Amino acid sequence: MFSLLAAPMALASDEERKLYLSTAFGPPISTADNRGFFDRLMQQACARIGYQVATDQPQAERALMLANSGVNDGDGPRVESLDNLWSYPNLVRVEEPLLDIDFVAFTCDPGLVVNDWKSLSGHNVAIVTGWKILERRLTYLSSLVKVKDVEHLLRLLKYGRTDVAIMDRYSGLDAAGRIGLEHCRIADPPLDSRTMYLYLNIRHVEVAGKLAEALRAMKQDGTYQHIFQEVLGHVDAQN
Amino acid sequence: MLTLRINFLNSAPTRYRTSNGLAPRLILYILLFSSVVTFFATALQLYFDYSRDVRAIDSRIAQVRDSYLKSMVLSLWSMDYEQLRSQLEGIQALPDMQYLEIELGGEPLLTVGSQQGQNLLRESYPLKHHYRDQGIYLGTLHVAASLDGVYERLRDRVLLIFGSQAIKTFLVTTFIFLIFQFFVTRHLQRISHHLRSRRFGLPPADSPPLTLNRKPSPPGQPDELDDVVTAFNEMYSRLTHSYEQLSESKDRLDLAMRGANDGLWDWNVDAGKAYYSPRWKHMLGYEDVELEDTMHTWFDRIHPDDFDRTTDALQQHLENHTHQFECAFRLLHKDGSYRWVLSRGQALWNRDGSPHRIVGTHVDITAQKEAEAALAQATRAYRQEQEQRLKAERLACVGELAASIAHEIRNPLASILNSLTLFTRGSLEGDDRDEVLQIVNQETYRLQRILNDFLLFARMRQSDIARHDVIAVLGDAVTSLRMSLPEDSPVQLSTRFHAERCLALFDRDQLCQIILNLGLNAAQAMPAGGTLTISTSTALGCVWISVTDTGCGIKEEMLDKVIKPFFTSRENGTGLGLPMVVRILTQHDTDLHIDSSAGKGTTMQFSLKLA
Repeated sequence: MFSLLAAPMALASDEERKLYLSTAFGPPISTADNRGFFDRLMQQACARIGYQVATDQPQAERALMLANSGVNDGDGPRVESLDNLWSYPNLVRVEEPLLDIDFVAFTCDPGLVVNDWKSLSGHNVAIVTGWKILERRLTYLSSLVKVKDVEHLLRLLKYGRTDVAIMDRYSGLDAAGRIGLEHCRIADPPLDSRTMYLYLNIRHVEVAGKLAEALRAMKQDGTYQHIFQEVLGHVDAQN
Repeated sequence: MLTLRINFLNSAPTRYRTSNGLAPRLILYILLFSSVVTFFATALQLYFDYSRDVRAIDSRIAQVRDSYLKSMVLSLWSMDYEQLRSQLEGIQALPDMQYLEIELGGEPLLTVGSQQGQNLLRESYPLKHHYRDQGIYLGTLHVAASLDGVYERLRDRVLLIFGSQAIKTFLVTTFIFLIFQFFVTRHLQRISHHLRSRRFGLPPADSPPLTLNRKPSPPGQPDELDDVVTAFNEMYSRLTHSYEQLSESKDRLDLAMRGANDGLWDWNVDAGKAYYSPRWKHMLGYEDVELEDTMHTWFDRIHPDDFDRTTDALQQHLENHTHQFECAFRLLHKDGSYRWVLSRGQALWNRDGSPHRIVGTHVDITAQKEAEAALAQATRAYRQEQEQRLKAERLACVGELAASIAHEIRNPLASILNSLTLFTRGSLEGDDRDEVLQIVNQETYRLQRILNDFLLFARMRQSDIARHDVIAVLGDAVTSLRMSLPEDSPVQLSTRFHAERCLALFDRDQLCQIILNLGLNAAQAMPAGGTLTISTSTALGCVWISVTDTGCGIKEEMLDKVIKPFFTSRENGTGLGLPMVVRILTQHDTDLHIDSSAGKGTTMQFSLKLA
């Protein structure tokens, strides 16, 4: 287990009140220059409660471990209910959703029909390593390829090395634009849709409440929508 | 002539078996040595191979640490277990890598391979990732490399080495066997066959020298076998010569023994065996086969009275206390009588001084012993007769002496008797009476002198011979002689000594007596005067003393008589002077030499041993 003793302690001074957050999502949810949706949302929300924030993108499960162990202060966006929450007893949820995310199937085969999870049977399917929600759903597949990121996932699809690539809609569309993936489509309806939340280390339980209020306030004053439109609006328009 | 035909090897030929041959033993030793060398060389090589393989495994484990650990940490950080498994499987695919495990909190996260097996080299590496200035512990990589592959390769290598070595050794030893057979063994067999077939005493044509059946060596470049052949032929020549000498010597001995009619005996003390020649047995009346060749045959026949003496003499010689064994004793003859034999022998001793062998002869001296007994008996009879004769002569001599004494004292006694008769008649007057008394006095004195000389002669003491200076003693004797002569003696006394000092062995007083007697005799032989000379000289280890006078000399017919007792030509002489001188000189183991010429003088000479 990660050592709690190694976790940085929250400091009292304002200059040093900074939250280290991790996310399993890449662009456009979170980017290396902290200009993703999650990055900007957290920067705004935390600023409202007097915190600075820094985000990075470790591997999804590693991100949970880091937050649970206190190396990081929190992790998100995560689904509403972590199935293996008992493995992360040190996480508390910020009771205000960050966004809704659809898990969709990308395919370049026009004849391939993907209606639900069962329809993937008999096809070559690829997912990103660490997406537990997907791994559990696809255990029945005989051919499941796992790669390290969304971009890699779509390259498999681009070069015909998999029939279907499953990921969240925003990341898939953003990555498809970056690698120039054409003649592919997103199967409709989504395979799953989830409301995503932020989880903080238990030592920030008080911050979690403040942060939830800040998020709600941002939604009320339009700040949330403004950020969403700026970062995810063009992706949402490609759909 | 005894003819000897002795085999060069007296023992029965010993045939060797092929398995005992030199070549098989050579092969055996080569195999043994080669096996030992192979064993140790293989062990050394296996040790180095083992060390190298273990080092290689260590190197691979180090390679895992240096080359794989970083990427594995990244994979583990990103929870990419598929990649991590691939990496572990890639590591496991390395030679001898058996088991890899990533463990976290005591629980295995990923395992590849099996931990089964006992010969494992284990190593563990902590997996840490630096994140936000912290070293995040991600788990521990356990690596286990198996030595089974190493051992299996060693086994394969052992089999390969031993197999190849066995084939190589077989080929090499077979080649050596053939080479040894060709170059050595067959020649040794020929030499052996030649040695067995060789006989002494054969003509040279029937006894060719040893040669080998092979190409001759280059001149001046003989090899070992040539040297052996040359040495053998030279040895055979020397042995032939020695054999001839031995044969000749044996013939000579045999002839001598038969000519001397001696019996030969030979006792090997070490082996406890004995040998008696036929003649030895014939001496005791037996044929050759009738007596056993043991020492009991001899000792059981020794006369009981001679047994201890004989065995003592033999023991003394066997213990090297005497140079030769020699003893005469009696042996029991077959007919029950005893025969005298003279046994002589010479022993040989071992280095430790113990007797090894003694050889000798028996000579039948029965006849000699019988002759000796007869001679001893005759000698005893002769001695008895001689003693009786000497006793008679002695009695006659005593009678003669008694007669001489009676004769010598008869005249003085008669004169004394006549004088006393005249006195008893009372008819003597004046001067006649004095003259008769003077006659009685003179004759009485004469009787006294006769009796003194006789006593001196009869009771002569034994000489006390010691070392004295002859010249000094003679000087004293001459002085006594000079005082014994009348003052008006016309004799001129002179001495002529060869040296001032001369040591000799004699009785001092007796030498003075001799000089006095001889001097007085010489002086009395010169009543008209003359020269009496006492002189000395040395010759033949003696000092010669001469008493010379220039008197009337001794008639030749009187020379033998003058040394007899009571012979005298003088009126007042007793005739005991010269016999006394002769007896003294006899006790000095010397003689009196008399050289006399009538009318010219006499020289009396004797010698004394120089000291």
